[in-house]
Amino acid sequence: MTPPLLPYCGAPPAPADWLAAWNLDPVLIAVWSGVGLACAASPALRARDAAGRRTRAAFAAGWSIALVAWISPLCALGVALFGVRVAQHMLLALVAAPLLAVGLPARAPGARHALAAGLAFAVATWLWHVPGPYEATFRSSALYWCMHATLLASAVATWRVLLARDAGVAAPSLLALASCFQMSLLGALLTFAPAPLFAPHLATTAAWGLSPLEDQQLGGLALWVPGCAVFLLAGVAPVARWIATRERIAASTAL
Amino acid sequence: MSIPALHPLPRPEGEVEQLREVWRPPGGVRFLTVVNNTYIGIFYIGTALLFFLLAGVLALAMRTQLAIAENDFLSQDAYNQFFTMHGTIMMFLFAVPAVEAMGVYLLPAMLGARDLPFPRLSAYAFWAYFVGGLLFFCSLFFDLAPRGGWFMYPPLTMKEYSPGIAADFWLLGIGFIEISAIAGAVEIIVGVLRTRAPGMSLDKLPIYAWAMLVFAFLIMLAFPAIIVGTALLELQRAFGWPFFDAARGGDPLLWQHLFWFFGHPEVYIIFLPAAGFVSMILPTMCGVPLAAYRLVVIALLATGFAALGVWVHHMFATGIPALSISFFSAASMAVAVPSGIQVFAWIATLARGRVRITVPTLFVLGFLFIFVLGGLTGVMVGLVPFDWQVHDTFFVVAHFHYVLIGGMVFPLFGAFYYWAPTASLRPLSERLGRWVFWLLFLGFNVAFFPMHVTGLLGMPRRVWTYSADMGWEPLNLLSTAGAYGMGVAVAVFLVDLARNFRPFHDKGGAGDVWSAGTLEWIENSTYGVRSIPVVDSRDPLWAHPDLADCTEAGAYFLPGTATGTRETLVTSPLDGRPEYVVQLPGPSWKPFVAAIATALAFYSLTLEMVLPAFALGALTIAAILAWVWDSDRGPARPPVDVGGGHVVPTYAAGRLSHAWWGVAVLVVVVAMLFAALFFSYLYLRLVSPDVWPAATGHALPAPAWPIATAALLLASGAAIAWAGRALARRRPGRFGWDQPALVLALAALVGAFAVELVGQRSTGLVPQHTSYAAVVYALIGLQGALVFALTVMGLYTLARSLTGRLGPVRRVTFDNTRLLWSWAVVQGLVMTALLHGAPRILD
Repeated sequence: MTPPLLPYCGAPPAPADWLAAWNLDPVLIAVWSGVGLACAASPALRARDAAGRRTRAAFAAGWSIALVAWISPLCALGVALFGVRVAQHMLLALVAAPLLAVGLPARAPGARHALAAGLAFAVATWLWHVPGPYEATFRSSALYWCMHATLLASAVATWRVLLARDAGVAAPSLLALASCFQMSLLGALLTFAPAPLFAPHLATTAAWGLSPLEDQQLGGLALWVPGCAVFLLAGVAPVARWIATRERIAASTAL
Repeated sequence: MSIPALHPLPRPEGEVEQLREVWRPPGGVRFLTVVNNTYIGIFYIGTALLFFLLAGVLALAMRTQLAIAENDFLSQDAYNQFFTMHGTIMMFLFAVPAVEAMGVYLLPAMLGARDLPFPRLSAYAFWAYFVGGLLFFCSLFFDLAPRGGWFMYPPLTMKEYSPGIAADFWLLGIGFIEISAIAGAVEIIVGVLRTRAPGMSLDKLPIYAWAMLVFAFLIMLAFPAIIVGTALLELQRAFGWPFFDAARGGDPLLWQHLFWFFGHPEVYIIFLPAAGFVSMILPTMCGVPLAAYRLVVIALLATGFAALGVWVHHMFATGIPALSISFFSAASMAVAVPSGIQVFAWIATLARGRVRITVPTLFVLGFLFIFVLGGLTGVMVGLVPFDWQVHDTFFVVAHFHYVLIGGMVFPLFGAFYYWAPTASLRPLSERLGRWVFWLLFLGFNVAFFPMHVTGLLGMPRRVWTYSADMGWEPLNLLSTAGAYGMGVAVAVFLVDLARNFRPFHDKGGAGDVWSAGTLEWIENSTYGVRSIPVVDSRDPLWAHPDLADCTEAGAYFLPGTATGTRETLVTSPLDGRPEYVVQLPGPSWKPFVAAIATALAFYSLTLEMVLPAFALGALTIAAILAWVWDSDRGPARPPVDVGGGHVVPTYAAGRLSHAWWGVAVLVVVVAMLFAALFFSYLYLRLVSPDVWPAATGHALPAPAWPIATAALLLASGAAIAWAGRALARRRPGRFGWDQPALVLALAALVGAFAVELVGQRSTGLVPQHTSYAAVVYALIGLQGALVFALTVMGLYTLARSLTGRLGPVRRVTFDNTRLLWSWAVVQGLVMTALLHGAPRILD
């Protein structure tokens, strides 16, 4: 006997009332506030200089975006639409994660760290968008949070490499390229699948004017196109930054 | 201000003579064994030009056929062969090899290296391409040329609809020529990253070298997809494995995904080096540095990155989901941004300097004009409704010729005129060059501009004739006239070459006739530059007007030969710090024999001569092993002073070694082959769930099988790691545990492969039955090929160890084998997880 569908985010909302479907889970808000406070105690976030202010602002923004992704109607809408669920994941992995990564204590990540982070992020991305594990998160709140925790943590670890000032050029650029590639591969497979794969959405998409297949294609494309675009920028930036630094040094020694 | 000399001048007598002696190319019939990049590069460029001429003649024949309605100059069948061969040769045997050849020729000089890092590999790649390409072309004379168009779509190219061996010529011939492109990519990546002049940090890298770096990365990432595609189609044609046969769970669209995952980057593989030419020629002709260097670098990287993601826009008309079409239409528009950045940087450079109108400048301006037009029609066909309207018409033919001829051929001719003085004692003629340019420019526009209109009037591409009442005749006649104009232009160019091009002189070429700023304009002999200069700016010859003279006087690094052999300086990838002196191999018959044997082996397979193919394959392996046996020579002598107090070793192992980097590139290539098959497996599963075990009731191997495979793989990984540690501890002349550990590792690796194969066969899985079975065996087959390669490498390493050629210091052979070995373990584990996990999790 498989347990019944009891999604953490509740029943799929109707198009008329989805905007009211907020998820004000007190445990979530308490835990996430605790995480925020614990991180806020770190020296990087308490520095009084301009860099400290920037770091604080980034961390606060990342923290808030993650909270919004979880408590806003995106949570409920993701029960109805696969595309929205993927968009929620992308919001966490591609927007909240880099901002949070800026706020974490700085430590130069090495090549091993880059490899481990990239691998963890790839495994998390693939695992949670495969029909079986994906459906399981609809039956168990613990698995739902396991999914979000692993996706967000591996994404933050990845972004710490991509955004590190002293990680050199090779590790971040190659990590960005590899992450773009694995997300494209998964996105392409979901986009070109000729039949719907995700049972929880079979009956819930019609209310939104989409067939389950179109909904699935939107999800695949959300993984593929924005994912790659963000990683493209992240992959090119370290090279640009490195050249700019060398140009600055050259200019200052020429004077 | 000049850069001070690193040692006292003048240099001792006889130093430069010794250098010349060491690098002297062999004479007589042994000239065929030459490996110097200045020779191989020019052979390579010449061969690419030969294929340009041959494919051009095919184009003229087609234009003659189309000049008037209902012409019978070519039969339909001949026309099909001609357009297939024209496209295939222009893309695979001219465009890619030509830009790669220019890199082989130019890069060492531009970077201040004495040669490319693997000279014998260049020689191998060249001869394989030369022999393989010519044999491929000869298929036309026997009525055996493929007829399926340059992209060879199934089902048309399946055995049922293309019987005979013509399509196999394409599949085996082209699949094999990609191997030589990949060999070139290994050279270029390692050469650009590891063999630069000291001080040439990445921010001072000439833009052309950046472009070639991105080019080589794209080859490394994109070419494996087409190799897998051709291998799968050949398996289907030869053995009936149904990857693309819808009746047995295959999908013809899988071919298109694999093809265009390669095919779209291919456009940039051709265009980026050409853009690199432009970024070198324009600053010289304007007398100012390139505008916005950093933005241009970013644009090159972004173009390369994005090129890998938008292959879907070649498939708008195949019935792919409407939603994906809108996304990729938008993404394709975005690709115009980095190209736009480069165009604006060139315009800004033109605006800042005083432009000298020379032949190279004319070609660059012609390029800008034509390429921008091609880019605009590209944006047009990126719009889906428009694409549907003009799909498979002459409008598309016009579009891609504007992009390819404008984007690649014009810069290439500019590059010939610009760099000829580095190779030839006489520059090419400015007078004849102007004739070439104007004939080519006018001929091109007269030939291809009307095709936009012909296409809008509805004329489909790839038809051998048309009826007079369609009203297409005047436009076609005009196009034909233009094509002949282009033919005349190329003939004038050949006259110019015959009259003025005098390569292979001891002194190098005519010298810096344009007053350019980069290192390739320093006098360049067979040994490259006399001493390897110190670089402290992007245009070193402009920053230090006497740099060329000081370099020739031997003022800088390695003014003679430090090890008494061919050598070059290996530098760190980011900063260009001297790290060690690498001894390079010299001329040899072995790569030559290996190349000829490889080419003949592939064509024997095409002709279904299996035994000769195996014999030639064995000869190839033997020749390659014999050739590498001379390398990995260990430290020739204690660390040497290369100049300026830099005392560096003459040998390096592990990650410091340039050879380790070469193998790392190879690992990425293998990983991409695996990724293409991994994608194919899941793609076929999604398209045809009805042939997967859950639907057919076919039993999977019991869990004990994959557990045994995984355990053996892990044991193999552990044993090879143990061998590495044991080797580090081994004393000379004593027994070391590295040899038994290596044997153990090999046994476990072969065992893992055998268990997987036997496990699948024990369930009665037959590859001809379903696409599921076929793709399972294809994955196992790739692993098998890797295990075979590692068996050869493992036994070779063991032989080196037993003959005292391997030790704690002299261990490059072991380190390289181990790197590929580690990947084989990882790939085996992922494959096992996929083959046994996916059917259980997904169903």
